Amino acid sequence: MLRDFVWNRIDSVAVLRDQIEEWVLTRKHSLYAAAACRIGTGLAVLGLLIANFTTRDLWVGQASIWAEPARAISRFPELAILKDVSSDVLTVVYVVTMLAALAFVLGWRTKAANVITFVGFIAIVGQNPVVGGQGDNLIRLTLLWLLLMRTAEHWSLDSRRLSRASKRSRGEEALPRWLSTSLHNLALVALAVQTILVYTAAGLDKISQQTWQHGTALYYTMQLPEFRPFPSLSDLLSSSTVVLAIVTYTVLLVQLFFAPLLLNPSSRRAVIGLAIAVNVVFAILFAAPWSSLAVIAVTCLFASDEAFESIDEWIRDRFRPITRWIGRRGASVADVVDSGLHRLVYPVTDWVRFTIFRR
Amino acid sequence: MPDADLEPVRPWQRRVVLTLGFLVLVHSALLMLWLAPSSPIRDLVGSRNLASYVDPYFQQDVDTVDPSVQFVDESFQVRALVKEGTPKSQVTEWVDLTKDDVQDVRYDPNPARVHLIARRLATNLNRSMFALEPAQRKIVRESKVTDTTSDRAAALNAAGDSSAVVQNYLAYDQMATQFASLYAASKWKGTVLQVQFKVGRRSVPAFSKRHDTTIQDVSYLWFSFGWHPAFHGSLEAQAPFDSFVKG
Repeated sequence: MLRDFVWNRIDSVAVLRDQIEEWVLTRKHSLYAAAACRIGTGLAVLGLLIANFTTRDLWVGQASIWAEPARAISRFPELAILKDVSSDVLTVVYVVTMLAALAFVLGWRTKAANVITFVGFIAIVGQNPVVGGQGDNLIRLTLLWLLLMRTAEHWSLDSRRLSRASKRSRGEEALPRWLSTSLHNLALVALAVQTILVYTAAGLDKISQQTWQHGTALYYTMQLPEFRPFPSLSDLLSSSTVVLAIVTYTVLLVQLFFAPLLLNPSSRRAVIGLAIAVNVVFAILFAAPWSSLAVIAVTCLFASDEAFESIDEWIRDRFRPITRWIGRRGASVADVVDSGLHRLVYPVTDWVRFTIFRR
Repeated sequence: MPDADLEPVRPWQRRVVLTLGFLVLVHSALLMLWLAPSSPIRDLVGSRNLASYVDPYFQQDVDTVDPSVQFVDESFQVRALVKEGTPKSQVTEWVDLTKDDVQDVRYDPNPARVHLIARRLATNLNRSMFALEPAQRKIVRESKVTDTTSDRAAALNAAGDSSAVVQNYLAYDQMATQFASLYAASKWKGTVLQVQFKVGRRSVPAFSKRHDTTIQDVSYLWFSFGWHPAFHGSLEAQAPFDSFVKG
């Protein structure tokens, strides 16, 4: 009897192992979600860098010399890239990282763009830890795991290019199929677990605080001048006790029960929708658009491919008249551009070549 | 649907995948311990061991997803001893850097991070200064411009038990001194000889009193740091301050 019990347990462990192996090895999962996460995270990096472009020398350049004691204890080797560099070198690295982030969003040479964005992001943002935020950590962790994932299978220029040359695409796989599939799936699991952990930890931390239990926590934050970019909006939200409590409890419950609510398809849709909604509210309310977008990007990982396909179809249906219009006008626009080139640009370049350079 | 041209997986490939899966499992368990509150299991692994694993690439906190509740408003003010033309040097008025930042980012949905510097310095100075013991704080308040960093460190270490707390305070003191000096050099004409800064702190009144009082009615509690010799940065370091301060 005991022997049967033991053998049954061993059999069920073997079955479970086979199921896990099949899940990991047979196909890549959540490719739409990975693409959405890529676009969101790339936009968060790009937006952050654009927002700070004009003040980059003060933020992370030579004028941030005062932050050296904080920089010195940082252990990121990437910081050496910008150590004691001139303003011009900083600008070059900054612009290259912005372009890489743009390429990452568009899915153009995605893997290379991911590597450059990851290294450049740490090299730039890590230069001034004093003004760093927790959103930076999330972006860095996401970029790291996305490196192992296939994020350009949908909504990317790479996928368009490869679908046009589908025969060649098989030859462009850098890794054997079994390894690339398993790396994608395991990285997906790791990033998903990471996301669940930060949500749950944030929820558990909040539930232990009285202000969150009383539904008034956001009132205190919204009174502080640094978190009131739109004072009338903050006052509007905090003036009603009921609205304030609803928003506060929504944040608390979404974070605390994020993991269990993912288990059922209906509650999963609800919790993802609510998590995105509260992050949109805080992006505006606290003027923190890029950290909120980074959270939204990883939250998207839990939406099913079917959901993304429906959204994709819906958007394509809505924009079809516009794309058709562009398609119809495309030829005429190309004619106008061509005519402009022949009438204006080529004569001017010819005149410059023959008259000034005499060639 | 499985990939159409999937080749059969060999046993050694399965072992590789299982090993990778095991690593993901261990990694996730370590992160869970890192983010969890203190417990016997966490203590068994040790906070230092966990920190050495997560730092730097997996560094994160319970505040990774916003928002967190904040109660304290801080202010960072700077003044300088400046010599301009006349043989006698002059002390400038106090300038509230955090107030300027708040005005600059009002109605800005996407503010630049440089507007956070003064506030973060104030927060960190307050935090590191409150970690000091009362006797050490008295030394900080009464420090003289002639005191070198090593003099201060020696005095602070003699008056307290933890050298790590003193080291932390001195690091933020150095950052605030250098930032204040570069700011002052752009703000006021002449040569900046010395700088002084003070940090203010006030809390949001309780929710139950929201109809009677707002944070604007609450006065700051000030802590003034002694005069410090001015730090002189390179021209490349000073130029961005000029455009930031003068707009």
